[in-house]
Amino acid sequence: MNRDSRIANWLLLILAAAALTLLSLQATAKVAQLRAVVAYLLEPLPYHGDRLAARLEAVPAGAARIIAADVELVEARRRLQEAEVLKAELSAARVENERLAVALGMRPLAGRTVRWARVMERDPQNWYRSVLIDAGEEQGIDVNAPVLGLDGSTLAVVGRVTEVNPRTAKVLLLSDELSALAAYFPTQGWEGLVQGQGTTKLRMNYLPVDAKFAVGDEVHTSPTSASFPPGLMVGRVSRVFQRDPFLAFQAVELERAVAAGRLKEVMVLAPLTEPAVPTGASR
Amino acid sequence: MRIIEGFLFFLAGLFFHWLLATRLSFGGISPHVLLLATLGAAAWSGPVGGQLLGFSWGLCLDAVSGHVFGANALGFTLAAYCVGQLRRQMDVASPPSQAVVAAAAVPLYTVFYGLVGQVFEHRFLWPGWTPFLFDPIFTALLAPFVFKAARRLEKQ
Repeated sequence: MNRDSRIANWLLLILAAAALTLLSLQATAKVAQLRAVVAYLLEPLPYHGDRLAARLEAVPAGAARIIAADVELVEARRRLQEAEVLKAELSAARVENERLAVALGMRPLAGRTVRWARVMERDPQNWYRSVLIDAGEEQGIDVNAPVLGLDGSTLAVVGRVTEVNPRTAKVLLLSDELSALAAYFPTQGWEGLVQGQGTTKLRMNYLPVDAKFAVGDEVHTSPTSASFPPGLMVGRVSRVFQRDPFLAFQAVELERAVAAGRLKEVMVLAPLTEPAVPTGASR
Repeated sequence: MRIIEGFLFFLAGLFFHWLLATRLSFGGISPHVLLLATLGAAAWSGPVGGQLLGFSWGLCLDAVSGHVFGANALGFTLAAYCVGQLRRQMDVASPPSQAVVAAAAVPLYTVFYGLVGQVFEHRFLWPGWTPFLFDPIFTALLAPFVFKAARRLEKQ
């Protein structure tokens, strides 16, 4: 018999004796106390076991909730991205709405049919020369129709239509070298010819040599203009050229009232159907 | 088997016994997890470890059972001694033989427990025919898993 077997035999004897003692004396107070102590020591088991089992039972439901939450998160992220796009569109629409609201508050030009059009395209090679608008022959746009834009809340000259397609039209801007427009200084009454230079600036020629002009003086369309209604804003004096002794007139440089780069919508006037009445363009 | 691992195995046995007896009991049929764990410990660790664990588990069962105090302790100790001594002559490595050992041990243990009740409480502690017939099956199905856990513990 090896050592382990001997230990096992002795252990069996000891434990069996202990068990039989407990069995024999289970009615005594000492054994009852021992039993109570063991039961007391085991008391946390059902309590904590029940909590643990409840947690384990809740695991599938929790996992299902996590999966559902993950799905909702992915959907929420997708909607958030869509909302970002919508927000950008809304912001652009709000700005456009503000501009159009200002435009709607203006009095119509007497005798003229007004059509609003969006600027579709601007050729980088001809940035200061022409733009393409999304209204054409089908919308009643004619060649040489005056085109106006908004300078804040005031209408100002942009150019005139030079080409008309069925749904689009090309507008020659006032800043183009081929553009010319009769204009005058409303405060002094002097009239001259505004010409484009292919840049952001305009030049007004044929002004009397003895007249005095200052930077900031406004220039409006003249009543003698064949195409444009009178009194529309053209620009403001940005520079007075030195008098040339060899010329019989003097010239000034103008800052355009409406910058080509800011144009979003333009107002195209239909041909005059009755004599134009100078009404002014401001609200 | 180290003392700490043995103590953790002891606690785990109590927990799973309680869990299966309360949560996976079908019509009064539940596996004898602690008897199975005692057999597993004795099969892999020998009769000494099996007897110590079996006596402790049995004492705990006796404390909460309300019947003869010491009957389970004595029964588990004897079962561990028998399996521990006979483990060299038995195949305790394969799951079928483990299931057979468990299926045979459960009715024997039930009868032993009843007889101890007859001696010390003057009435045969009979659990009923349904548990007597179906507890061994349930316990045998669980045997490979418990033996595997005991084996893992013994390896540590």
